[in-house]
Amino acid sequence: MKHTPFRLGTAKKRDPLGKGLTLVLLALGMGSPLVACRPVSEPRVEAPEREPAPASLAQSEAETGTLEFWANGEDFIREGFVSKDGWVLSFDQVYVTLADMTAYQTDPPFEPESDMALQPKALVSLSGPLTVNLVSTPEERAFLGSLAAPPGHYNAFSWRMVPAVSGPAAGYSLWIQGSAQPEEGDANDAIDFVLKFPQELAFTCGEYVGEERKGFVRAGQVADLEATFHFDHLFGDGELPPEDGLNQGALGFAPLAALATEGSLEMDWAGLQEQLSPTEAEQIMEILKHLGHVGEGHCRETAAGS
Amino acid sequence: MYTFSPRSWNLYRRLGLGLLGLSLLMPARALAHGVEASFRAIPTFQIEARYDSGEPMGSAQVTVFAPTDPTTPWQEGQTDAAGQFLLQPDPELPGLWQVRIRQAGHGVLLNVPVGADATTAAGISSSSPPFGPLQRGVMAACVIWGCLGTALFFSTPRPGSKAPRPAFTAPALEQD
Repeated sequence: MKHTPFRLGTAKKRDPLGKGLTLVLLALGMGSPLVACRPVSEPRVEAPEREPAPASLAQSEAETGTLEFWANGEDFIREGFVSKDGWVLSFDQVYVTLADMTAYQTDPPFEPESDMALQPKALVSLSGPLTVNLVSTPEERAFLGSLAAPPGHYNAFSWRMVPAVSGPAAGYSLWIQGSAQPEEGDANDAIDFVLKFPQELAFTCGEYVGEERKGFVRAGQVADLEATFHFDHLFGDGELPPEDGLNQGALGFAPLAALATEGSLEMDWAGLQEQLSPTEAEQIMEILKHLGHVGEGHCRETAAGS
Repeated sequence: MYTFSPRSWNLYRRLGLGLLGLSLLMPARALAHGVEASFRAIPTFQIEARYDSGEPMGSAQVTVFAPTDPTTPWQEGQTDAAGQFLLQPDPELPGLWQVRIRQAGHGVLLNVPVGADATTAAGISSSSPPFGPLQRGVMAACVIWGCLGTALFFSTPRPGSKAPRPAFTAPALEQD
């Protein structure tokens, strides 16, 4: 008689049917708990990783990241553009002076269009003032500075525009120097212009809005935020129809061209107030209040001088 | 000519019984080709984007970010001519959903809370169908019999248990 290599028992002593039944019951016994343990409720969902991190948590992080601040005048300033009233504008120097540049981790996220207050959980700040030229930059944007920052999502950004204390734009928070030429006209009609604004402005903005999201600081990595200035709000955009909302609110260049003498216009805010109509002067003031953006996102102007 | 030896017969008998046992573990729905359907309500948010002038942001680019990954778009689309977009977030991802709307150099980031405060309702509370009384009774009986069968199996005297147990190999046909 040959021996089976692995025996449950002798065939003579156990009934095969009984052995099979035992196996079936064993299988059922093993399988039943599997069935009975099927979840009767929805799978548990992990709690979302909420951003930003609380300030205390962020501050306790041993490692920090780097947060860079940049200023951007967009292609309008770097490459020039056509105003809403047909003036081809190009720019030589556009100086802006920024101070108290502060990035915040806010919760809830700050919405500048609403009346809600900014509720920071953590913040980092560059005091300045810093003057940058939005035209002559080695990169597309003008670098303002960088600082170590606790990890987290910096989803709000504020800064003040203040008069420069030194340099070519001393005494002015915004200096716009360039040339304008009528789109359809003689080259001799070109106007070299310098517009100088001493107003102190303050912008409080929410999260950067652009092609990609910004402000996510991770330990050992670099993130950035950007103060963006929309000069098409001042001059309008000739590529948009006249009835477009942006052009409806823009001053254009024609009112300024009317003030030029012998192809030149250099005027500060006091002169503009004197030479322009009150409506136009007020229009400029309103435009300056909405000059600051974060990418395409709007800001809340929180303190405007005159 | 191949014949079955008693050893082979035992092997095949065990294999057959094992397969029978495994087949009983297979879900019944696979055998019956059953179909299940359920429903549940999930929140839908109608978003409307417009400029300060009141003009709708028609055909604006819309990017949705789930709270679990704020840097990777969860959904991309665009508003309709009226500047409207229907957001149907995954209700299993509670938290602050963010919707970025951009057009012609202007944009906004909208924060949409999804969670306990959101309006949710469900026809059934489970993705699995509930078990009926009969099913529960059968399952309980199986558990009991399974435990009993296991106990009987291991309580059976095994004379050859002292011999070293060879590694399991696939059954082979024996040739006389």
